[in-house]
Amino acid sequence: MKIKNQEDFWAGLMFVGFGALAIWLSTDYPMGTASRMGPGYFPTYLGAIMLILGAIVAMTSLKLGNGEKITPFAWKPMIMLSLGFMIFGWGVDHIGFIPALFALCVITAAAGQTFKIVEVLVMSVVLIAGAVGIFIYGIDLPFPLFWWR
Amino acid sequence: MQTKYKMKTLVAGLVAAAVLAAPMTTMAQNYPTKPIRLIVAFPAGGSTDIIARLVAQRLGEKLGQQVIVDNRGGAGGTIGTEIAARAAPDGHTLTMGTTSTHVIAPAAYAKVNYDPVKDFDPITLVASTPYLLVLHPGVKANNLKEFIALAKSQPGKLNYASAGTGSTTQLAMEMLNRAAGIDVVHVPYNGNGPAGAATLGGQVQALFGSMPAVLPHAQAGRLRAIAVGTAQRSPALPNVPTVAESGFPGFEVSLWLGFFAPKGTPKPILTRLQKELTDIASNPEMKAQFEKNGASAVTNTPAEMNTLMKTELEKYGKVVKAAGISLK
Amino acid sequence: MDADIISNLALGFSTAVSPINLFYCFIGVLVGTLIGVLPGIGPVAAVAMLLPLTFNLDAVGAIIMLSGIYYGTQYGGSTTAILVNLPGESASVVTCMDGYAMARQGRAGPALAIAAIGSFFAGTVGTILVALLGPPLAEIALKFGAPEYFSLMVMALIAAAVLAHGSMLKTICMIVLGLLVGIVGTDVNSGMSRFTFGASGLADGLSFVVVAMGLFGFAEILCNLQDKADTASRDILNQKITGLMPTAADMKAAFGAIVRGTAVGAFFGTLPGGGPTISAFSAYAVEKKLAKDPSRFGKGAIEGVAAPESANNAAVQCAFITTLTLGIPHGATMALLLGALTIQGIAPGPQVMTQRPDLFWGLIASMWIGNAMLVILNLPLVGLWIKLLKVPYRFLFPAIMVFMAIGVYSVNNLDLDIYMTILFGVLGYIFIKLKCEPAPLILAFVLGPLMEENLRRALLISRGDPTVFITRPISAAFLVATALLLAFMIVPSFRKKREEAVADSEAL
Repeated sequence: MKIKNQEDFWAGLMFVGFGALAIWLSTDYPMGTASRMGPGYFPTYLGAIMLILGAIVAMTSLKLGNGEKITPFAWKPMIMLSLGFMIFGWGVDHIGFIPALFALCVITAAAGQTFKIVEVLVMSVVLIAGAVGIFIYGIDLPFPLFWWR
Repeated sequence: MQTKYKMKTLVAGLVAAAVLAAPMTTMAQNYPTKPIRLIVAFPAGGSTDIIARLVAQRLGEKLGQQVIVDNRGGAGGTIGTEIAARAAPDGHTLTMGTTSTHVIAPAAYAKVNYDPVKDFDPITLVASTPYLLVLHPGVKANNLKEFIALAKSQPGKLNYASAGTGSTTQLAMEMLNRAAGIDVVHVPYNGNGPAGAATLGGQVQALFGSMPAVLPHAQAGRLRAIAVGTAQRSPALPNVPTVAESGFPGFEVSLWLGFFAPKGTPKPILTRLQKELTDIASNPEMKAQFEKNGASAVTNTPAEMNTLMKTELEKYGKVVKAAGISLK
Repeated sequence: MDADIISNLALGFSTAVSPINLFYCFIGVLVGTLIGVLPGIGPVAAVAMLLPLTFNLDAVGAIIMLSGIYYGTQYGGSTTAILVNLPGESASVVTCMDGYAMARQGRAGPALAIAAIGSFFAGTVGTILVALLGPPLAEIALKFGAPEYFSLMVMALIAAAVLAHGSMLKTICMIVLGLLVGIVGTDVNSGMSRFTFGASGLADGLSFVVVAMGLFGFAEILCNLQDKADTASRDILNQKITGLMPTAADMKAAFGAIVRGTAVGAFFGTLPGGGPTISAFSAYAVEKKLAKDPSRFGKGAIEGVAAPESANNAAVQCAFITTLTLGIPHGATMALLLGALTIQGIAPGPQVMTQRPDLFWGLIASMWIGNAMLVILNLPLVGLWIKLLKVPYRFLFPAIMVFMAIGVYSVNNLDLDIYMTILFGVLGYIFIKLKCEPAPLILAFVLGPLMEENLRRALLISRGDPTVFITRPISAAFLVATALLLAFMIVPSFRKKREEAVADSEAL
């Protein structure tokens, strides 16, 4: 068995997965009846529809297609951008707005192909100054600037 | 010798106490040393936020430090209230607590990560908003008695709208359902606006809505106001009787808003805040602004607030149980 | 009646054109545009941030400035949708599709200009319509009960399938997935939390900002960074820029789209809950259906920018009126505006018009003035925005990330929102890899909760009788329209056309 269309095959499997997940999670919620639906009714049926449609997408991909392949994932940018965001989200309340922004700038910049430390530092300072000017002094967002608040 | 020794211990103890207490008293004396964060557990622009901002501005002027409103909305106000409960008790973090955050959520939610009484030092109430029972004009009932008779003649046929499951608007009507022995069916909407629209359009027959949301429509004659939930009649609608005087003595539903500090905030700071806030809420100009927003200014003491919370927790707890409301 | 309108409008304009009010309007539009154009900061966030600016003004000044802020942020949101693929609100998701495609072809200028011109035209028509029919128009909203809303949502979701230019089946899957994502949060009918994994930060559901920033912004940056050399991605964004203003041919192509979009927007605009969103993509669907060559859509068709932008703006004008006369907000931004009014001591409701005619008609006049200022301000700014694209991508993407992070965080000041954005960003990247389009998902995410809520509410009120959907005329009409739409999609000739279109897109 050869997969004719990899994109559709994996997309189909993904939908099957999401559908199954929705049905499984919905088992915690009362179903009710069609005339008096409980909180579980809608998600269970949506999950089922999704599972069936996903299976059709995946099965069709075995027969129809022009050999579409999935291009490789950009792991490094994915990890760096996620890490930068995570530190920012955690950081605003814990280490303050400015350090959190600095971490975000440097880490995301490292996701790119060229990383020149001086350039990145200058850019960080400019972005932080702009963000603090606009959001803290301009429109009074209530973020602590540093860990000592 | 022994007395001398005792004396020494006493002096040392006093000195130590003074040294330890010094930062606290100077802190209280210099208070506030930095901008104060007022956590509002509801989104910007809502009725709680509006009252909070009105008061925050005045409080800032009085304390000589900015009072920054920090909106931490979500999950019926429990997210922001939890953040306030965990904040440093130094008087620089306060929160605007309401019937929703300090009574209904702890009573109705299966899991709330704070204790409204044990985790907070109440300061004072500032305002309260009445609830108003309104009907679509097509409903054949001109007062509460006729409405109850109508509901009794066709049990389970009438509907009422609420601002959401577990909202004060639902609990108010459920209390009436129980008190009058009627069965008006709950249809939850997503907020006061949609609930009001559904009643205006006649999709449902009744709504026990918050005053600011329904008053304009009642005044325009688009909705028929038949009773107010407060103990006294509202100055805005002097001809509308209270539920209590229509045959249900003791019936009282309103939404109060008050200031709270995290538990352990120094006494002098609490006293100072109570004085300033009471001043603000008693100011005629502020009273007028509250009234424009459908609220009336109320003040009390921390002890009274604790009693209020305890009685209300019990009162609403019963309704929540009887109506089978449980939010998970 | 006519004399009334004229005297009312005269009152309105005399209020609005006082120098101080013109100044407030200008400041509002300017500040709104500047904040709204920051990537990641949509109208809701921008209006929330700027709301305090108006607290110290008088009521008329405040509402005029706020409406200016609103128009400014909204246009700013469309600007980021076109330039960097970041929709500020659900309605601009539609603008993203062809707007960003135009930007990638170096035609960001015409896209931005046509968005401004279309918005102005729609705003003008909307203002006239509101002045003539405002109050009766507002009444229509009240005729909509739960069954009508449900049927409307069904129609809208089926129409959403038209948006896609890939496989129909995958598009339907994305719509269903969007509906499931919309379920996250507290169920309005039972008060039960669903799909929240015990996180209280999810109790109110995922916010649009989180889902949109993840699926569009975050994923797009990942996609641009995956190309080996920086130069490759830079090329995409910095294609030679061909003209700042639309050509005569562009204008000709866009004119019909603007007129039709305005009509669609005025039709759906009065409905609370999703009015502008439904307008925007219905207008897009109409253009795609009418086009001689529907395959151009999604690849930079100027009608695909003109129609939804006009529809959105026309809908917003009508939304203003229901917000003001009924006190029923149409969404988060309108709820904020209502809040601002109450701070001013004005209870939105039917009496506003009689008790404060200066305010009511002044607002209507300033709606038009705000729209005019928006065009005057923004056409010259188009050149500036385009220059921003010339910033090397290695500086541009960290800047976008910074503003996105602040924008997401500022909605609820909640770290969980940032983590969820990462999740949707990675998911969005996978979607791009698997050629699954995110736009239908977002629309279903926005409309889905309304659909379920109203379905269950309708059955609750009818005590379980499903015939309400066909016995109520408005609801029945929507269902008939849905059936026709479905028939269109299933009719073989149509399907064939579709497959050709798909083949085209794959050939590219």
